[in-house]
Amino acid sequence: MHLSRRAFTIGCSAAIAALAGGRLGSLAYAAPTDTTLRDILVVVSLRGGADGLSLVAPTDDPHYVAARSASLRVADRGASAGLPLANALAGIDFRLHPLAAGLRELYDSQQLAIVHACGLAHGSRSHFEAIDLIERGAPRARQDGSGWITRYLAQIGADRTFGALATTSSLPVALDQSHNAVAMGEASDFALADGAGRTPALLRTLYRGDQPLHRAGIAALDAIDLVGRALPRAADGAPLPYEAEHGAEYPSEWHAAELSNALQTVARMIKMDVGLQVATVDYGGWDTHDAQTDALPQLVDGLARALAAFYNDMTRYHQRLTVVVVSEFGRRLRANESGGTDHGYGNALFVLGGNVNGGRMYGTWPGLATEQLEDGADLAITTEYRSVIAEIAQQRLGAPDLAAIFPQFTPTTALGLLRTS
Amino acid sequence: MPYTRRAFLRHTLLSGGALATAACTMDQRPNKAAHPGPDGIASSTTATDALRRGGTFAWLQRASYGVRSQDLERLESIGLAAYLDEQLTPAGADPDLDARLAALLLPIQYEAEGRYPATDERRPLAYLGAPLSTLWPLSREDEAIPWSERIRPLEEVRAATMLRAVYSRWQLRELLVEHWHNHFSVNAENDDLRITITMPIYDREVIRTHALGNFRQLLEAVATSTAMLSYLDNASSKASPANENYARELLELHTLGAAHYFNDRYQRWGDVPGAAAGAPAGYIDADVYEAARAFTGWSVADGRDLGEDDTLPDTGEFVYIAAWHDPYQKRVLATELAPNQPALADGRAVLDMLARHPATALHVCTRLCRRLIADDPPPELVARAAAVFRAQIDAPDQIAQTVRAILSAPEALAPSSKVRRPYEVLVAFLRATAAEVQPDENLHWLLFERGYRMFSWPAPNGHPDVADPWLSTNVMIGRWNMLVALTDNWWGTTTLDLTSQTPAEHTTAAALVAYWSQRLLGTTLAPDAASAIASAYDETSDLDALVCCIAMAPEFHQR
Repeated sequence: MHLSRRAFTIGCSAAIAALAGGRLGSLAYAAPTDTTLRDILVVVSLRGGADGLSLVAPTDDPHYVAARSASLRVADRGASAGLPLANALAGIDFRLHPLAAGLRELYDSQQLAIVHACGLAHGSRSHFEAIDLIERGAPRARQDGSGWITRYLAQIGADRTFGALATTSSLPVALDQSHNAVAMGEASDFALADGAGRTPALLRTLYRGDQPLHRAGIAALDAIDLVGRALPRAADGAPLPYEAEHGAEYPSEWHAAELSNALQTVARMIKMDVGLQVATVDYGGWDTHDAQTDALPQLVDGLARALAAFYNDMTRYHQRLTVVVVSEFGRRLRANESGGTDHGYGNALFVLGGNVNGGRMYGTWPGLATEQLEDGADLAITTEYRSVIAEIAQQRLGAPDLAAIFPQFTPTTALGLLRTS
Repeated sequence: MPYTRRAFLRHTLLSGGALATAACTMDQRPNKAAHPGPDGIASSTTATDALRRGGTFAWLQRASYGVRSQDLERLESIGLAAYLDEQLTPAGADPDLDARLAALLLPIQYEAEGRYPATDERRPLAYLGAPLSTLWPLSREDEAIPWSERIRPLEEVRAATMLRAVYSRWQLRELLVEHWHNHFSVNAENDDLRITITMPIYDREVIRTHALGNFRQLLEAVATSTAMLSYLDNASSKASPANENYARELLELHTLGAAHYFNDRYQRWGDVPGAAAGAPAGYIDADVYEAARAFTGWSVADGRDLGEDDTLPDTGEFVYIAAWHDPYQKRVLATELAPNQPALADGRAVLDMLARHPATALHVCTRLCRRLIADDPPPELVARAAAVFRAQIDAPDQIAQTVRAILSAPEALAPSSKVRRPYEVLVAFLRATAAEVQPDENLHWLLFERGYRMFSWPAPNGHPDVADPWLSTNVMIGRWNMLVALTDNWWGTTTLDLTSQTPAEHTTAAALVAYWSQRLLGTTLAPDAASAIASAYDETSDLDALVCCIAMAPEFHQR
């Protein structure tokens, strides 16, 4: 954007620059972790509570048909019928939302698996508490606990390098207490407004200290340095614009731009080979209490097209890439009188990757009859969210100690979502 | 605003004196005589270092967007208690700010559309004081109105908010206005024009009017505001099922707080501690659902067809639609609401219950103390504030009295390690450098990229008020680049005149660093940091850059 205005003509004296430069050279970047051993994990969070009953709809379940007006459910026939899914659950005609063609393609090519009626058991219908519970991976919200990804990174020794990237302004709860995870918007904006190039050395002097602010400053300078060296540049030193591979076209309409931009930043950083193990991406706007038929089609369209573009762009990496798409909770079976749906419980979860046993739905369908619903109102949870993550962590991420990632949680039998190599 | 050396010295010395009273009551005036002044900036290090560890300087950092000499002088001349009283009853004129608001010209630019010709000009803030009847027509979707015209009310409130934060005499009010905007956060860029165009009303008649007033009144002003009714969808909530969006956040964010959510009990209201005695300690999901029923029919007059030849007026005003209201018996917080209540009675009963609930006092006071004192405020302080909040529950200045209790406490004079959000850094820098600023949307987008989204935070919980989210790599880069953008005046919004503010006798780099460190930080930098900046100045003689570098130091990013 605007980072290179007039050269920022201050830095420090030659002597101090040399001193700081010396420190720069000896910065303790551990040797890049051998990424061939474990997948890179990308977690896409649909913020607000996505309506799983529209994303992956039990179109011929009579209770579904009875509970929702035609505009708030996915049809099994007609011009706007949903996209049928092979290998569905419970003999039900499960279909993807009609605008999710990109997801259907991934499903049909056996790269995408769907777990339905999934969520955090004993979770919450508060956005903020549910997100907290899911991302800390702990049974009850613990304000002082770290995020589950933070604990995973510590286990694999990726907590002192550029091990994790969040494409949000701040780190998500899953990365709480991580001191080196990087939060980044655009890679090309991830630089100091420093024409003279001397500010980093000066800042290293200013940020000597052991307060959180000092550590944050040094962590940022380290990350700037690493990204600055790895970012492909034109002859004049300006960062090259990112170009997707494999003819992938990220959707750019405003409703998709947030996700497209974030996924392109992830793709770019993975390809720059800076040691990335986990990336987190937020896609907001799913809290459709009102006029769901206005908002949801665009969100589904953005999700399906951006995710398909990302996966296409990342073709070279499919054998060591796993993507999970989650949301903090599902939405109520029965709509409200505003043409929307309120906070619910169980939800659909997507797992995508080159080693996913895709083209199948997983889990146990609990049914939508009133007595089968959680509290008589919401899709019940039959597969614990942590079981799915634990399976990925074990099969694809080489996590040595699951109990430390998800304390007080005993994984159930693996669903068989993944191949080990 | 020339900043004389004499004035500067006076403020450092007097605050040094105030330090001695840090642990004493607010009524004690600093003992000036006890601190004979050193006769130069450089030699005042000891006294001013101590300032950063607490005392009047720390207090004023908490009660303002950044200490300026004239504010500290006033504080010292009338004493903390009187100064706090003055700030809590901001009645006096503010001619400097008024003149700036009147003079500010905000750019607007668009292609021809509908009856609007192509436009590229700078216009005064015409919507800031405008009534709803002027604003509401901008929401009409049947008319071709350029987008820049539609979002103009929002842009004007943003620009005015920044001007007020920098220049207002009534700094504490401005801080609290920001606080309540976060407490009752709406997203004006939520693709809902009804929020965007009514921001002047939400800011002026809801938040500003009640920022130091009564919480129950503030609560109802929010509940009946076009902005909140639109943002959390209550405007479309009708029986039955009701829309639960507003009720959920009313309980969780606005009043009782998530700490009092007994999520595991779902509908078993009798299991909530205290419920048997009619005084449940908190809420469950069923309370959200029942409260939502109570607010059905609280809506916005947006011209919609209600059927049977009944059409709402298209004014944007609050309206109660009796036909949408769920009239039957309800149970909220273990209290029965009788069926068939008069208009608005169900919702008002819920607001009454919530405003008087001890959990609300605790939640609201925790957030106030977190804003003014520390990320993890001492529980005893929160309890004292909550006691005042409850004792003054019907007082018209309940909030002011609560804030007085917080800022009169010894904790308010204690050292602070509160990390400034990027917006606070921006404003503090402009204040400390006595900059001339004409804010426009460039400053907003500068902050937006780094996580501070004024009036457009994407969730109803408002900007975080603890350090961690503001220490990410993205935000740290933003902190530094923002100061460069302001110093170098990237968008023509900011003029610094640092040379004329620098006493002539400070000719060496070291003296300049010492002087400007005192101005910006209230202390000196560590010797290696100071000498690094001084050496750079020796090469460039760029005073702007020197001051910018001091502001990049971690000390400036705390208050």
